[in-house]
Amino acid sequence: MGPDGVFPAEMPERGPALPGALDDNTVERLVCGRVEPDDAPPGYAGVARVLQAAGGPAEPDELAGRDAALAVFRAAGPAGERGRAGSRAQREPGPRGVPGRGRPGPRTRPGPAARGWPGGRARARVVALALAGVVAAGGLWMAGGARTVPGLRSPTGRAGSPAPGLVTQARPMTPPVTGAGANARASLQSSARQGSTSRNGGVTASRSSGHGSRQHRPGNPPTSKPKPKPKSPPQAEISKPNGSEKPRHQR
Amino acid sequence: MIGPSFAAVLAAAAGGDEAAFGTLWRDLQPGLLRYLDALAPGAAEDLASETWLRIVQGLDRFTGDERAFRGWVFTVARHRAVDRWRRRSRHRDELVPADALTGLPAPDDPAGAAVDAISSRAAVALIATLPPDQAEVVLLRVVAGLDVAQVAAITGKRPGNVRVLAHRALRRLADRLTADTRVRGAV
Repeated sequence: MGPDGVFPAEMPERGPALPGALDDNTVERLVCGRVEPDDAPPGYAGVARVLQAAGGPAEPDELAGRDAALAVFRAAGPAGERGRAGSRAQREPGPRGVPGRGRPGPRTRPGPAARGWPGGRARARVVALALAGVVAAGGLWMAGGARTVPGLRSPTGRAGSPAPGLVTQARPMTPPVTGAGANARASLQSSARQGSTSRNGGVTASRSSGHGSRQHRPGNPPTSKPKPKPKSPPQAEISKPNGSEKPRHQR
Repeated sequence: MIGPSFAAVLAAAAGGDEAAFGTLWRDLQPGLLRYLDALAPGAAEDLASETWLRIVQGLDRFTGDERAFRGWVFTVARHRAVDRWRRRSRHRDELVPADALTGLPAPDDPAGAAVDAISSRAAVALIATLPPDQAEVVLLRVVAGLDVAQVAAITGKRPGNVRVLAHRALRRLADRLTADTRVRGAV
């Protein structure tokens, strides 16, 4: 019989206390797991129990991957990294005598072929090809500057050509002539040099005006296409205007 | 926590000592799994492996005390979880292993499962039902053992916000546990 005249089984069960506000110190102690559930503020006994469980000791299944972690450490850890570094690791002594520092690793530095760079004869072949290309390009450049076109016979057929099949076209180094002014200038020049215009036919200015500035470069005046002769050798058929003939690098 | 011998353990691990690395791993792996299990259910093991790979690769370049080391480890883990979340957000379908589902609390009785079984996994699962920012703050404080400043640095929040989130999280947990107790008492 209770004090109110009722049996204890009939008494209304007192529910759990409603959680109230917490101060910073209590929150700090709760999250650090320093509050036992029995000592927790009203309504926070379950919270204290849950937080203690969440920060509890390790369970066996959580430590099941130790071997795998050690394998990763062996493969990608400092020792493995030094092993990949190769000779550099062998030269450097370990700071403070830490064991394992400077130990040569199982792997050595990969060779040039493994790094994607050709080695030995292949490298020499690449270098030789590159040099040949540079020399050929330089020769073509010099030939273009000297008005020397490979494979083009001289229209005059004069002796004293620099080489068989290489003919120097002697032309005055005139500045670039473009547009409408080219026609006027061509007419003036045609009256001044009658000999040359008779050979070239006075087509220099007209061609330059028709083709724009593609052939007008300093030191490389517009050229006139030589008139085909009826007795020209068959090499003239394969000759092309200056600039369009490019040597092919043979490997 | 390893304690005063942490510096020697870290130096030995950086020098390639497997036993020292095993000490570090044994100290941090449980908290790492619990934290990642709340952030990415079902992928905690994979993310922990990725985290340890990064830790191992940068171990010899780390300088700092144990507190900083723990903060670094959980920062890396959080980045891995965020990366995974971004990858998964591009692919809506997600395969969840059946084992991961058994660890999750049922929606009708999360608090009961946590309080009754009181296993660490169930407790973490209950914390994971909080809003994400609150759950992360509580887990970083409880599971990882980080202080307010470290949690603020990792989550990109101000320390005051971290404290407020912790207050709200504990209050929400208490409300949920109290309500569950009342429901079970009424039944």
